[in-house]
Amino acid sequence: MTGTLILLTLAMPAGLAAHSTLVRSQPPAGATLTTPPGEIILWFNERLERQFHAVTVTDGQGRTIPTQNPHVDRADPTKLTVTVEPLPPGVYLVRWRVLSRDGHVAEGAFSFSIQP
Amino acid sequence: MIETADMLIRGIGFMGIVVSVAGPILFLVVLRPALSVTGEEGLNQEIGRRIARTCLASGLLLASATAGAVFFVGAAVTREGASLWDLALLKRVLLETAHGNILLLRMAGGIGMVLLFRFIALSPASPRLWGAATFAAFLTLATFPLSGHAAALPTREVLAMTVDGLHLFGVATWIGGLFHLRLLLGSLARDPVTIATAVRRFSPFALASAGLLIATGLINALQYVGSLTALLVTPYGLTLTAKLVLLIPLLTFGAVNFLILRPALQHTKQHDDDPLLRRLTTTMQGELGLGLVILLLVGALTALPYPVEDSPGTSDLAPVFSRLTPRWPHFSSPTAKQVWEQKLAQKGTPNPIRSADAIAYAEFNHHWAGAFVLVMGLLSLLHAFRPRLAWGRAWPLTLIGLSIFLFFRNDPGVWPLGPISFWQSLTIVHVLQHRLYVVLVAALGIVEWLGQTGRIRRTWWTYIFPGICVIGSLMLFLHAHGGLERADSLTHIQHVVIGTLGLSAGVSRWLELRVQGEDRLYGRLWGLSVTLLGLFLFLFFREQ
Ligand code: HEM
Repeated sequence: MTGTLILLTLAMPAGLAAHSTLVRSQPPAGATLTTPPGEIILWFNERLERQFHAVTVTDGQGRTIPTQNPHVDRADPTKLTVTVEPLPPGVYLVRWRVLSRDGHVAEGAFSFSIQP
Repeated sequence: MIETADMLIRGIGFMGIVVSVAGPILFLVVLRPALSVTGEEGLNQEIGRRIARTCLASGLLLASATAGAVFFVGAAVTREGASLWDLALLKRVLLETAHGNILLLRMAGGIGMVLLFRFIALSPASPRLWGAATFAAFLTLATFPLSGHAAALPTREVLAMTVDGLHLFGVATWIGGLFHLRLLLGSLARDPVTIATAVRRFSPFALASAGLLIATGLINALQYVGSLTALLVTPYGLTLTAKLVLLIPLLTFGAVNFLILRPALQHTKQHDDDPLLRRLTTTMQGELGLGLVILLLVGALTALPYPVEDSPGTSDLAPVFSRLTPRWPHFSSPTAKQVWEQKLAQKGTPNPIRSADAIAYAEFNHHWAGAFVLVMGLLSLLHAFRPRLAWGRAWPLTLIGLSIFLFFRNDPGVWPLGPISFWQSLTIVHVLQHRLYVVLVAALGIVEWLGQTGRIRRTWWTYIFPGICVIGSLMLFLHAHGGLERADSLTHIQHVVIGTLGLSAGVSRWLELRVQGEDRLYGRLWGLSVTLLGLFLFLFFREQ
C-alpha cells in the first residue's frame, strides 16, 4: 500500500488504452496513390459494434473532407467502410474511432497521399 | 480515475455473479442432500433461507454494477464532449449495440434474481422457486462471456466464449461457494457436526472447480496472451502474471483445507471454541480473501487490451530485464529549484523532454521513500517475531516520516521548496491529489500507532489500512498503461511487482487482524511483503 501511495503520490496521470487495433486499411497507412480512392476501408482485430464509430478525413490544411455512409460490414464485423468524394492530389489524415463488441473504445489515425 | 472505477465496477460485478450462481448450487447439490440424509429438515430450511438472503444481496450488487458498466461504456463513447449524464445516449448504448443489449439482459437477470431470492427467503422449501432462481443465475452468468473479450474475437469466438463461461462457472462454484460457506460457518458455529458435514461435502467440489478453472484459464491465457514475452512485458500479460502469483497462496490455502483440516474435522465433536474450527475459519478466510482480490484483479484484466496480436520473440525481454538490476541509491539529488527551472525553460516547446535532473530527482524520491517502507517492513517483522519488543510496535511511525518526506519532495515547483505558494498549489489538481495522499499516509500512521500502543480500541477502522493496500495496489495494474505498446514496459513491470507485493501485504495484514494474534504467520507475511516492497523501491526502482 505504501508503495502504491508512493507511486500514486509521485506519479503522473494515466494514459489511454488502445483496444481494437487497426490491422490494415485500404488505402494502406503511408501509401502514395496515383488514383483517388472511392472509399476508405479499415480492418480491425476485433468485431465492431454497428454504432458509435467515426471516420474523419482531413486534408493537408486541416479541412474536413465530407464522407458518407460509414458502416460496419454485416458479413465481416471487423471491417469498417466509409465513402469519400473524389479527392484532389495532396496528403490526407484519416482518424478513426470504434466501439468493439466487448464495450471498449479505441481510436487512431494514419495518413496517405495522392500524387498529381 | 475513471479507469479505476471501471475496474472496480467490473470486479464487483464478478463478485455479484459468482456469489449468486454459487448459492443455489451449494444448497441444492452440496448441502441439502447431505443434511437430508441426517434428517435435518429444519436446519436445511434455515440454511436455504440464509443462502437466499446472501444471493439477494449479490443480485442487487450485480444489477447495480451492471448499471455502472453502462455508464462506463457511455463515458468511453463520449470521450469527446457530450455529457456522461446524457440519458438519450445511454439509451442508445443499451438498445442499439450488442454489448448494450447484453448488459440490459444482465441487469434484468440481476433484478429477476433479487425477486426470486426474496421469495425463496420467505419459503425456502419451494423446489420451483429454487429451480427458477438457478435458471436466472445461469442465464445471467452467460451474459459475461457474451460481452467480454471473447465476444469481440474475430474468429473462434464461440469456442472462446464457451471456455470463458466454464471458467466463470468454475470461479462461482469454488470462490462463490466458499463465500457462502464462510458466512454459514459464522451462523452455524455452535454446530460443529453440521460444519464438518458441509465442509466435507464441499471440498471435493471445490477441488474439481479449481481443476476446471486452471484448465480453462490456461486455454484463455493461450488465446489472449500467446507468448511468454507478452506475458511478461504487456500490461495485460503482467496483470495475468500477478493473478498467477496470487493463485499460489490461494491454492496453498485450499490444499491446507483439503488435506489437513478436512480430514481432521471428521473427529470434531466439540463446540465453538474448537481450535480446529478456528483454524479452518482462518484458512477459509485466507482462501476467500485472495479469491475476492483475484476477482478485482480480473476487473483490471478484462478492462485492459489483450496482447495476442503483438507476439515478439523472447529475445525482446533482455533489454527490459537488464534494467531491472539492483543499484545503490544516490545520497544526493538535484535541487527542487534546478528541476523547476528546467521545467519552466521547456514550457511551450511542442515535445518537452524530461531532463536528466528531473529523472534523478524522481528516482531519489522513490529510492528514499522505499527506505522508509523498508524500515517499516523490518520493524513489522521484528514485531511479528518478537511481539514483546517495543521497537517492533513502532512501525506505524515510519508512515509519518514517509509523509513528511513526500510532502517536501513531491512537487518541486510548489511550497515549501518551490516558488508556487501553498494556497496557489492547492488549485493545481495533481498537486492537490499528491497532498491528499500525503495526509492519508500521515493519518494512517497516526491511527495505526495509536491502535498499536493500545490508546484507541481496534474496531472496524483497522481494516481501512489493508483495504487501502488492496485497492491502491489494484490501481497500479491500470495506472499509466499504454495499450499494446511495450515502450513503457519497465514501468509496467515495476507497477506489477509493487502491486503484487502490495496485494500480498494487504491480504496478510487483513488476516493478521482477523486472527488477532493467534497465528503469527500472517503478521510475518505482512512484514515480509512490506520489506520486499521497500527493498524493491530502494534498490531497483528506475524511471523509464
Ligand atoms: C491458472 C489459472 C488461471 C489462468 C491462467 C486464468 C486466466 C484467465 C484469462 C486469460 C482470462 C480472460 C480475461 C479476458 O477476458 O480478457 C480469465 C478470466 C477470468 N478469470 Fe481467470 N485464470 C486463472 C484462474 C482464475 C482464478 C483462480 C479466478 C478466481 C478466483 C479467476 C477468475 C476469472 C474471472 C472472473 C474471469 C472473467 C471471466 C469472464 O469475463 O467471463 N481465474 N482468466
